[in-house]
Amino acid sequence: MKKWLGHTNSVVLSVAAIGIFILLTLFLRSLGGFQLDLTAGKQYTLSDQTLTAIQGVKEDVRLIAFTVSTSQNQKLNRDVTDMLSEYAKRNSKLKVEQYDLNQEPLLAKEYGVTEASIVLVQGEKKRVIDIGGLFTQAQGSSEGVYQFTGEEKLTSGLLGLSSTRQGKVIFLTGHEEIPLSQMTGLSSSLAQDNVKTEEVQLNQAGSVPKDASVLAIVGPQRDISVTELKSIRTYLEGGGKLLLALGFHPNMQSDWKNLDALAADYGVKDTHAIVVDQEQTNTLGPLFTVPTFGSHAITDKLAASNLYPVLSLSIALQAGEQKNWKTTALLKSSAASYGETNIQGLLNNDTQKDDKDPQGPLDLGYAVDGKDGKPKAIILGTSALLSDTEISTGGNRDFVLNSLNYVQGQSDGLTIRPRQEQDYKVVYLTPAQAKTILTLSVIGLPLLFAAAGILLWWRRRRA
Amino acid sequence: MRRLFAVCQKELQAYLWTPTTYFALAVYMLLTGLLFYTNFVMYQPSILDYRLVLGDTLSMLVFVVPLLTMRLVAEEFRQGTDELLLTSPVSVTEMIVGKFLASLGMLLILVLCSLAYPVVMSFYGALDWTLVFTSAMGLFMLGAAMMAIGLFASTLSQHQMMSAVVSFIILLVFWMLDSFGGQTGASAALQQWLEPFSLTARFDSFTKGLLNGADLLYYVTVAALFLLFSIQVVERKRWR
Repeated sequence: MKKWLGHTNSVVLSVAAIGIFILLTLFLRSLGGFQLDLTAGKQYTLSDQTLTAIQGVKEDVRLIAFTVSTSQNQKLNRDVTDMLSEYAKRNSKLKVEQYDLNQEPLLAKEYGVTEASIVLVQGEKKRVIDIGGLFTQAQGSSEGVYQFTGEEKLTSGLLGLSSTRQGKVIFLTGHEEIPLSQMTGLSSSLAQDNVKTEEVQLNQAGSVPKDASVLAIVGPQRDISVTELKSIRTYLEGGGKLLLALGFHPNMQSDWKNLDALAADYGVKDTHAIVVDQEQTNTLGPLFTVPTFGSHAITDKLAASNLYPVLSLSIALQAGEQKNWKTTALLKSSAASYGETNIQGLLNNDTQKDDKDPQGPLDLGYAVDGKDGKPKAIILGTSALLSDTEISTGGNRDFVLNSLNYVQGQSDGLTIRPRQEQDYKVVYLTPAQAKTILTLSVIGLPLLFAAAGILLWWRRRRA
Repeated sequence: MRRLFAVCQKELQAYLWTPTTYFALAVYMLLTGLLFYTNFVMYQPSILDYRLVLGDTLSMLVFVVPLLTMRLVAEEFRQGTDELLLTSPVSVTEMIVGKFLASLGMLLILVLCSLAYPVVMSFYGALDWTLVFTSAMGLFMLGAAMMAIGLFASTLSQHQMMSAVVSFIILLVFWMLDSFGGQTGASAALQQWLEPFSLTARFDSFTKGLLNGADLLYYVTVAALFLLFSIQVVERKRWR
């Protein structure tokens, strides 16, 4: 009886201990963030905004990282996976998966991913974050230091998943604008923000659809008609928003009366001068420009992350005084640039500055706000940056998305400080150094312990 | 407590006066040394990051810990000295905890030996010593949990090799818990459930420079659990 009781006690105690162990492990895991970050830059300490966003996740979210493994980007991949695991630690609803993009092409295709990306999936909703865009060279820092904006983008992505907002950007057609079929990169990025895209020909539709959150006119080659201008004005006067991105055309000076009138409604004058940037001549060519940013909610975060757009065939704009609108310059060409007004000469490769040509820096885009501070329009002297061929260049995608989000009143103001990271420190060892390390670590230390063992064995044998 | 330390001291002496201990350490240093050399020297340029080197050398513990713990209780059973212990004033708990503390002494030596590699790396460039410190701490915590598992295996048989094999199997299962299952469907759910119990998954935080409360307590509770099992197994002998 006593023996039986003893056994039962042992079993009960052991089972209880296993139960406590399992529950304690799972409970402590659910606490997640109970940790001390001893890293130099507090690399794993998440911001309050992030912690709130993580706690706000109520449905399962898959954080799928598609990485590309090369010897150069080991550290970058590790930054991404480390960050994802920090998020997952804090809410068991977040599940991390990691795949090699080259080994799982079919899975990547399923999520529409062609380059290293993080895909956030919640039910039917998904958002894609380009991994390449998370890393930027830190300005003014020593070599090997870079900035990692993963937390800002991932938190923004998480918030976007739970967002219920629905937007619709209507793209005007009928004037040889860039068609939506050539802006698939932009429309898929907008779709991830729950923003739909649609094309409308005003001559047929009669008016801008009422559910349009923005009317986009991107790279028209022909002028809009008076009737169309009237419809657009009616839409805008009724509270609509505008994205006007002008594209180069040889006859723009004489033919764009109504388009110019539309821009002029908001105090923006189209100078019809094409920007020739001497600073870019050696790298991209004189008709490309990498502008600097004016200070605005659209551009401030991009400037902080060194995400500058790359523009081609840009038209210089000028802002005049306006009673009802406040215009803020978003993009400026370099001081070495000028606006070529002789378009025929430009087409014949004659790009000499003369007295008629305005000297840079030239304004290439404006944000137009009402006197009440509410966003109304974005007017750009450039349009190719929205097309599939150029959207992935530099910070083009970020600039365009920021602009569209802003004009729709969706600038969430999420600013999370980018983390300053140090790339791997590397050292090239000489053959002599390699030999020393081999002798010490592979031969010396094991031999030392083996010798101690043999000595002991020998002494014990003799004793 | 005095009796507990007496057991610990006796065991530590047994460790230090046994040639097997030094051979086990030699094997550990040889294997980890080879991995260190391969990771740090063979691929040029060498990367000054202890985390990259430690990852591979860590798995050596699965082989070395059973060797270091196999004799702890099995030897008492084999020599019949367990009868003496069980009838002495030393309680089973004191005996087991004492032996465990001795094994921690050995583990400390092992961890200090492992630090030879970051020291070598530091000759060739600046190393992040915070990461080295937290990694060493993680190594010790992980090793402590593994030593407790090894000690438990040692209570199951009077044959040292048998104990070592059992210990190796248990450690391997705990080591690979986060590898079972896949990334989709039901197997993904299984993996999600098992992952918190994996010995290795818990180690990552330490190598990043983080002291995570859940990870620290996990290793402590694993050690406590297997010490309790060990006590129960030895106690069972008393009832026979």
